[in-house]
Amino acid sequence: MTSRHIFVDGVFRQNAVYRQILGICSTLAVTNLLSNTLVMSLGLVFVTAMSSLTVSLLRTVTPSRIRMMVQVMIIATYVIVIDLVLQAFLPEISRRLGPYVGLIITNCIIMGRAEAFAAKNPPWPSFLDGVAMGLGYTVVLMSIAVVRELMGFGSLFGITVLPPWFTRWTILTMAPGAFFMVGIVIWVMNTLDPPGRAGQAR
Amino acid sequence: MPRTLRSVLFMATVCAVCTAVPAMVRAATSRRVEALERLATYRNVLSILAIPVDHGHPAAVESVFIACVREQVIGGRTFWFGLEAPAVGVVAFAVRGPGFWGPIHGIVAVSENDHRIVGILFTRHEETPGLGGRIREPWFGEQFHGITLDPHRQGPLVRLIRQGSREHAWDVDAITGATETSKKIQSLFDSDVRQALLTLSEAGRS
Repeated sequence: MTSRHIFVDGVFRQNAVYRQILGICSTLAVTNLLSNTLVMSLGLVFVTAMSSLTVSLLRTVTPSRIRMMVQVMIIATYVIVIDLVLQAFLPEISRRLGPYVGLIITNCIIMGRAEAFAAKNPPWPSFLDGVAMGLGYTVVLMSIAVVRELMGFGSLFGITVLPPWFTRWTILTMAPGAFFMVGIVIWVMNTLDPPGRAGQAR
Repeated sequence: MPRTLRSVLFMATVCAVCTAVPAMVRAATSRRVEALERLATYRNVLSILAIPVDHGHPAAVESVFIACVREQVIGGRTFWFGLEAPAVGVVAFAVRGPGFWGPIHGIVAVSENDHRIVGILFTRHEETPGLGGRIREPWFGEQFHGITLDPHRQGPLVRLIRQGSREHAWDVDAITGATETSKKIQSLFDSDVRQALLTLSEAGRS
């Protein structure tokens, strides 16, 4: 499998959010502000890439019956490191993301890729797969966040862009707004690129 | 080597490494995190005591705080006493209570002699943006200014009521569309603010 294939699969054909419906919890939780979404996405790209790389490096020596425990330990380590670094260097964003950074550990995308790809492939493709899956998640989350922040707060990255007379769609900043947006994204993407056709193309 | 022993040893090694790495990162960043938290408290206290400071310079914030504020722990709660104008005779303290979605944290500043509110700042909350989240808007906090809080009085310390129906000096306008948040703020005053004021009066008498 070439690097290009890995990328196209990770970002589009096998997109974690709208195709595999993974990582929905954080998709709903953090996408009401672009800055939070960006930091969360970068955190996920880092953790997925690094844990896939580490799992792949250890794949030949890891006893198969304890491999999932090892994967969880590796993922948790990277997540805690990210959390500590955010607390020290981006305290405001760390505070706004609250418990969601810690919850990256439970993001099914990371464990899913460690088990489905990194445990069977060499380090470099595993690393690329982690980056691509993380980017696929980033693309979806950022597009949801653009709509939610713009319509809900009238701003983009905290800078007000809509005039004061525009009535803010407050519901988009709350949990129900996130459900609407995720549903719309899944619908639009499944219409533009039906899963069946993607499967045949492979 | 038997398979089980190998698995145990492998897991033990992974655990040791995975514990050591975050521990090292924590050791490297803990000072910075503590300093940031302290600085955030300094900023909030100075801002509620209306002591002017250039918030862009952390060193200035710290030196102004040390020069203008006396920190004292009474009954397990930290109180900040203003030493310089315009905060002479003013004391601030942190309060917290449950909100609609999560806890609400704030700082209240009152005059030392008659417990008249001179400032209130909600520092952290998880209320609904645009509704309960409006507790951070200046108009909401300003309504409390000048209210004298008597912790020994029966009934609510302040009342959050429908706009335009004020009866007492301690009535303020609730936020339209955020009834629950408004109720939580009222109970925050009745529980934690009242407790802080009682601690303060107790200390004043002794």
